[in-house]
Amino acid sequence: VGDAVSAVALLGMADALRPSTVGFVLLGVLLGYAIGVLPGLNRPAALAVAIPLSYYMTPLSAVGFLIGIAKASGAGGATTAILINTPGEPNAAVTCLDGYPLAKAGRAKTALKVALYGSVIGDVVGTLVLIAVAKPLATLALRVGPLEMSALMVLALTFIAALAGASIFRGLAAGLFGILVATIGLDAETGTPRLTFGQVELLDGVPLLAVTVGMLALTEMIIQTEEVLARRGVPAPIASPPEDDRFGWRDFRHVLPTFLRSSAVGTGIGILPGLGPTVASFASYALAKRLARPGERFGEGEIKGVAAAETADNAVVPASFIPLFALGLPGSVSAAILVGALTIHGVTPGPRLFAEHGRLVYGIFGAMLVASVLMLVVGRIGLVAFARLARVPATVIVPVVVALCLLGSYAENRSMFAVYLMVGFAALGYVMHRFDYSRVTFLIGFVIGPQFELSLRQSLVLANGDPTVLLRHPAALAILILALLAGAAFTRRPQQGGLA
Amino acid sequence: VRHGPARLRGRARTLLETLVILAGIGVVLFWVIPGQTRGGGLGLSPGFLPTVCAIGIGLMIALDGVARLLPGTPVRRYPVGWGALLAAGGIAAAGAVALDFGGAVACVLLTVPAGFLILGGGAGR
Repeated sequence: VGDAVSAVALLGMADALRPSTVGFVLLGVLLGYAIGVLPGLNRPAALAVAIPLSYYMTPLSAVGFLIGIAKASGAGGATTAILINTPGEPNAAVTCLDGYPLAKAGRAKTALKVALYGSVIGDVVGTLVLIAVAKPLATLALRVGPLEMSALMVLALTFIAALAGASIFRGLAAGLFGILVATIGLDAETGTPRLTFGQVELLDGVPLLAVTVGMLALTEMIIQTEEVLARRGVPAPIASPPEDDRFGWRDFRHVLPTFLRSSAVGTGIGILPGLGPTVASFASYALAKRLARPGERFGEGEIKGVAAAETADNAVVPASFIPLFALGLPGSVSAAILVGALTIHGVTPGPRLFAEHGRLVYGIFGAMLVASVLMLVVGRIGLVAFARLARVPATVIVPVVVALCLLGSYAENRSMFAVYLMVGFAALGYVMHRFDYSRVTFLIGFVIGPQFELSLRQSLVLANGDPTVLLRHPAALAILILALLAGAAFTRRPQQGGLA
Repeated sequence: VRHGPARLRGRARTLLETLVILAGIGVVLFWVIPGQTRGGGLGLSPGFLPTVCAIGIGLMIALDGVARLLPGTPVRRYPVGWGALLAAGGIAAAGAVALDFGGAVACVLLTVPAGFLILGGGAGR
């Protein structure tokens, strides 16, 4: 059995090295860098717009392309934080603290290089942990019954709801709303239409693309339009003096402990559903500041500050895929979008993924490592070129992305119904944004909805109306108690946003 | 964070927001779900999970409303109006109509220049 697994793993890794796969990963990395630098476009919005582009690729190329975008957009996001003190995403806000003072002191290139090396190291560590941990966890998850699975989903949704929005109540309401929307379509058990209002287009359920593109990309463009209408211009990037081109082995060794520590922080936080890159970069920065040596002045241009924030930020992305590959639970919005991409290609994430699509999974792991290497190469070569993109005005970006959203949602089924639905979900997403209902929690609820319903139905059949069945399933009971305790704890503290 | 009469207005708005959403959930629970689901023989009713979700949402909204109306809870208001939704939503809606009646090229040719003009050309720079 071990030999067979090794053979599948090798075949998968070889697939990742095929020129076509490497080409699509490279395309994703290039797009990701550009998107990270372009003002107003964040990682979830970019991934949502890119899903339709991946529609015509093979499953491995599609996921490799999307992973390239997810990884490189995080690294690219540091550019605007360092050069114009404008974080493209909340998680890059910490990079501004030391990155911008460094740029003002004439060390912009050094700060960009540290951000790049930190991003790559964090990303590689997160990916290696994913490769090492996902398979054993998935094997363990195969023994998990429906009661335990339902309890795990409740726990994950509680964490995500608590951490992604302004209040846990509104977060949970958004998550439940996502599950409610996921119930639209033919009922899996009875085959009768449910909440379809007689629309034939809804029999297969609400199209995932309409929801993701509408709520993440188009809603984000509406939010960017607020900035445009407020006439907040984009400041000019700080130019780097010619002498600012030195970051040698000695400097690298000086920052290496911060790189490694922050990789561990980012990976640990990434595994837990809901915590995301913002929490990781803040936590990592706080730790680095706490361990500062005399003379290291965090907040005034300390290179370790940039390293801590960027390394942890990028370690989160691969680590957040661990619950996805092992349990089928998307722990972040990027993972939820990846579920969408896999589903489009007929692959359902979950513990059976290794048994049913082992070669593809190892191919994805290989593509993730290829993306890490390409991130380094593209980042080193295009460091200055990408920085120029920071000056593209939002008045150009918004209409172009709006057009891409419309064409992308049309591409899935060549259906105008999906396009109008996408526009409707964008409006709904904007209203949710204004009233502090997390779109991310809604989307994750929508993605896990079908699996949650299946597990819940099986649990109820198993219980047969007897709630004491939980006593015979102590793991499920413990997880539910943990969810309750977490929910109670989170009602007492204000939350900050930041899932990606 | 607001004080005085503005705070009172904010609380009234919170109460109204909570009541409007709860009314919407009432409509879903007592009209939409019963009207749009049919019982189907063996197993759980197809309306079971939607009903559980609607009740759960209602409970969460009510708890949130109570928490926000408690004395000492900061009252916040979104800093800008609905102009962005009208502008970007309008561009998207016009683009969707163009896609419907003129195809992909018409959609791009309408959405991009119209968006550029409506959003103020290079003003955002």
